Amino acid sequence: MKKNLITGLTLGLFALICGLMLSVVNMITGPIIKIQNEEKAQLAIKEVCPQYDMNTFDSVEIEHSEQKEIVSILKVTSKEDASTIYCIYTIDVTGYASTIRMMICVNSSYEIVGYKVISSQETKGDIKAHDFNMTGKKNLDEFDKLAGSSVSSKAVRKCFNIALYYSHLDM
Amino acid sequence: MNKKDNFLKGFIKENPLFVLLLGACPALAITTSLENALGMSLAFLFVMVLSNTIISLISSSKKLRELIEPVRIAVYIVIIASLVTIVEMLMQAFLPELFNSLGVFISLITVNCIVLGRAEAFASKNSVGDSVIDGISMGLGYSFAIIIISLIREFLGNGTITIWGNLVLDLNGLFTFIGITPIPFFTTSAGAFMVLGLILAIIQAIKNKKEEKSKEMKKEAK
Repeated sequence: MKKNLITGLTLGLFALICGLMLSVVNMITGPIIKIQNEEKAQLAIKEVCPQYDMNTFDSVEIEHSEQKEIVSILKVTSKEDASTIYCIYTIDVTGYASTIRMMICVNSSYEIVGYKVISSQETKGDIKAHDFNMTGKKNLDEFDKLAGSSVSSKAVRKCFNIALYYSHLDM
Repeated sequence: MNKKDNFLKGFIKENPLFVLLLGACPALAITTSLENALGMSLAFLFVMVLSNTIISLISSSKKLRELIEPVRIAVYIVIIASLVTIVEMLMQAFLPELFNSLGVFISLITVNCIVLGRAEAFASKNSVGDSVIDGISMGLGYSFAIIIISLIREFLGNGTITIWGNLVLDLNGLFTFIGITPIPFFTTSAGAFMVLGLILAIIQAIKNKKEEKSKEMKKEAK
């Protein structure tokens, strides 16, 4: 019994030493990784919302509990009157082969300002580079389906649908 | 076994991939470009050498060895997993593009049979010096194998050889000279299996020839 306890404690000690080692490395690499991720996020935001400027706008990221597909919403507000100018949605929808993550920016007139497929492992067509003809649109009437890839375009269509629907509630 | 033999065994005689066929899954998955193979080699060598060193150090103390005996595999895995996580964090911070392209296969070094196998079969029973040499030998042997596979696959599949980042050797001219185009099949998983199979067949053929020669020599001597 005593021997087992000592063996267990030794294993625990090894785990503790390894944990300490990892925390030291994390102290060095953590801030670098955080800066890289922030830069990546800023670049993606700039791409879907070219007007976004940290000097003129405030932004607050909020979680959305109502719709499970919405990963997060970045509300961009005016620094003058705190009114919401843009809502940038990050949405996950299951496509034909994988989850498609999109970032969609909607302005206060409920028009789509910009969008980007952040990640997708869909095999049919280059979904990331495809223009769905949605910039400046308020509804999905002119949504361009991907030729020969209707299942994936259904997922993208759902992303736009969610963003347009919730923009009316969130702004 | 002297130090020289201990060092050289990992390259040909006991090559982890070409002879022992260990660690084939990540080797086949990441060998689509030379850059990936070089990145994986670095990560693997780091884990292999350090895990062998640490485990040999622990085993060199008789008391400590007896204490961890019933849970030694768990201890080895904790050490190996920590080293892999360190490599992962360093790569994510300083080589993010390589980190993204290697993906989950860096984490999978933890369950690579070679690392755990060498820890249990060699490092736990030999001196620290010999274990370090064994780690370097096995690490370089594995690197040698995946570099060879990646060179063949990238050249035949894309007509290029990506050394690092933008440093790409375009060999499409060779294909144009012969009058064919690169064969994308070699960049797929099936292509990887085919390349590995062909290399194994060549190694086996050389081995068979050597055995035949030695048999003939023995007959002549009799």
